[in-house]
Amino acid sequence: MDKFWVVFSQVFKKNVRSGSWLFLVAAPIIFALIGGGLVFYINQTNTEPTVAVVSDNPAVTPGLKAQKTGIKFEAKDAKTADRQLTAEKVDGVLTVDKNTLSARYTGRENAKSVSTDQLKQALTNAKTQLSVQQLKLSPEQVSALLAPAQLTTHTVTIQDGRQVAKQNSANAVNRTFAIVVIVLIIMVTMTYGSMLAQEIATEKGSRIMEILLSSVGATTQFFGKIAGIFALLLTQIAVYVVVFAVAWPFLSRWTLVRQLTAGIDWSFLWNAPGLVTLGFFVVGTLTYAVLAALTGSLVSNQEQVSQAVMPLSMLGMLGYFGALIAQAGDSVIVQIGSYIPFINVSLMPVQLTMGHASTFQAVVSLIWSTVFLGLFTWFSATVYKHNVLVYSGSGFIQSMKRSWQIWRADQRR
Amino acid sequence: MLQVQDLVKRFGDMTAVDHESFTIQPGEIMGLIGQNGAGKTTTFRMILNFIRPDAGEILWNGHPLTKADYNQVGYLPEERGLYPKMRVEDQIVYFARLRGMKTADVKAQIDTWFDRFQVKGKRTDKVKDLSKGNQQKVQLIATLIHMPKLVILDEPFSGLDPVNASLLQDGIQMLRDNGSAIIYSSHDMGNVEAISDHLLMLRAGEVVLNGKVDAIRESFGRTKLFIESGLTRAQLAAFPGVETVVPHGASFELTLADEAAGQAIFQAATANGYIPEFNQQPPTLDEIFRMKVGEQHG
Repeated sequence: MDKFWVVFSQVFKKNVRSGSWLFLVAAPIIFALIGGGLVFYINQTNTEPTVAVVSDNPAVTPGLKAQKTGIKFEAKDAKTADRQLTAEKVDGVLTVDKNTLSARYTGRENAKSVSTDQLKQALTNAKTQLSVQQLKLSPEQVSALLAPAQLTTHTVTIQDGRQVAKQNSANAVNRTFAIVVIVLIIMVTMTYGSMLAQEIATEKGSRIMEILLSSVGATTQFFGKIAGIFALLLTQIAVYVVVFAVAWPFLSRWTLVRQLTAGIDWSFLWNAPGLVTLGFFVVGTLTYAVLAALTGSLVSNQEQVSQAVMPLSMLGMLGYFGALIAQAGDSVIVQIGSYIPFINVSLMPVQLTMGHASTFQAVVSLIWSTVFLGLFTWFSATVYKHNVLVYSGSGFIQSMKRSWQIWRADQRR
Repeated sequence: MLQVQDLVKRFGDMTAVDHESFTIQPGEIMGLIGQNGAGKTTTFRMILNFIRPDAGEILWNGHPLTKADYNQVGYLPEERGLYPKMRVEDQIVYFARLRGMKTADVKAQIDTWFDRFQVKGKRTDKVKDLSKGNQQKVQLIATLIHMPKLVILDEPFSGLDPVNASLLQDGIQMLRDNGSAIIYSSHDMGNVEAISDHLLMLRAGEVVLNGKVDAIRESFGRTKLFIESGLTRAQLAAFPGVETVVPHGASFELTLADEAAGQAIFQAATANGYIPEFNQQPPTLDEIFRMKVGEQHG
């Protein structure tokens, strides 16, 4: 066990100090800072557009001003408004009918953009308020009038001639969440998988592996490395959690961030589908890490290191495209793919989020993936110790065949 | 004590090691010689438990080598490997910790080992920034710093200049004096002759020579004669039992069919009194090696 920790800490320490890992961790933070800075700068320099309001109804302008539209309304008479528009002192003129509140907007080209949707919404609200005042309605009547109709949806799928309930169909937030999750899973599995494959391939290519094997068993080494790489991933996540926790009090004061996050139902983080997705994330990363260790151990020299990463990239891409297909709609291929290890890691969370698969189906797939991970780890750890001593000049496949022969020969003995 | 008994290893139809047996006592150095592909590295790999023998037994202090014995092993593979971007100190500490040493103990000893092998460089230097010779020394330090009881060195002298080869010899002898059992392979018979107590030669997986270096040489008879006297090349060649006469400046190197032939030459050469050189020797290891390899090809 001591040597497991020696290997573990070596892999962890070596990588945690490496420029490539620091960049991997810092890059999203840097990009977020640059992006946030740009948005902040644009917001700061973008003063609100000014719209002249021409109306014989004196209540219109105060009614519009009362709403937070990000547009500055100023009451003007028709002539002044026209003159100021020509002089480019206002960005547009809104002429509002005294009684019906129907309006005409004249916007100046090259002016600050004014959203017509926002104008329409502001006018509607102003009109409602005026009507409420004119009709002298009580607050209860107002809320009864303004309360929107309730609509809940249930989606069913027809299986064996029966209706089977599915999750509610995906909304925009779910879609976005699904994309974020698969991109994250693929990025993480690829990055850390490549890191591990390269680590092992480099050790084998440079013959360090023989020295390691003479001091620590292949299996201990195998698990020590995987655990080390996994700890790196957890460290990266921990860094983001800390950064987010520190930055959130500042970020949450920002209107733009509030608007962006307002539509997200954070309960997905702790409800069943969210937890299953997290399970896929963990199992997926480990499965790819084991595959990376396996392919890394098949490399004979430094030049073949890129070959070791190739199977990972191919499976990752397959999962990614599968996930895109799953987003477009449910299909038999995607349904089957949702149970195939390696690609189900990205397919099933999408299926689940899109409402194409039930939580039960996802849990079944996750349990199967975990069982597969166990078997695959056992297999990889067993052939690993043979792989790391096989040097074949003729490439990857030959190494695999040779390693397989040695393993079988050992089994027969 | 390392005991290798009747070891056999086959790869498909090819027999890499064929009924190999030898013993190395603590405080003994064994040189393993043989052509490329003779089975030297396969032997090492079986001792290290990397590959399983098809038959035979390897015993370390009377029992098969287990994981617990790994800490007593120092192994230097034929092709050297270090982490190029790692600092020298971290590199040595990592390998030593894998052999069960404590970090503080390793760090306390690094300077002594740097002096012993005259490493030019700092502990904080990255491995890739050192010269090739110094990288090899760092590799050796990483192999030996835990004072292993069983030392396995695969071609340790390859690529070393004479000065560094001599430092390595000193290092190996220091470990022997400390009671380690050492086995190493080499193509350089000069080194093997200089430091080995025991010699094992493999040919196509079979042991063709096994014993003390001096005893092996003596077993071939004192058939080499170096002589500087008044006798001419033609006179020397005319003696019965002289196979070849090769001049080296004022002296001659003779190969005799039988060491007894030397007596007649000695008497003739010293008939008039003093001569500067008469040196009758068994063949060198290099010559024995060539002879044994030649037998196979002949």
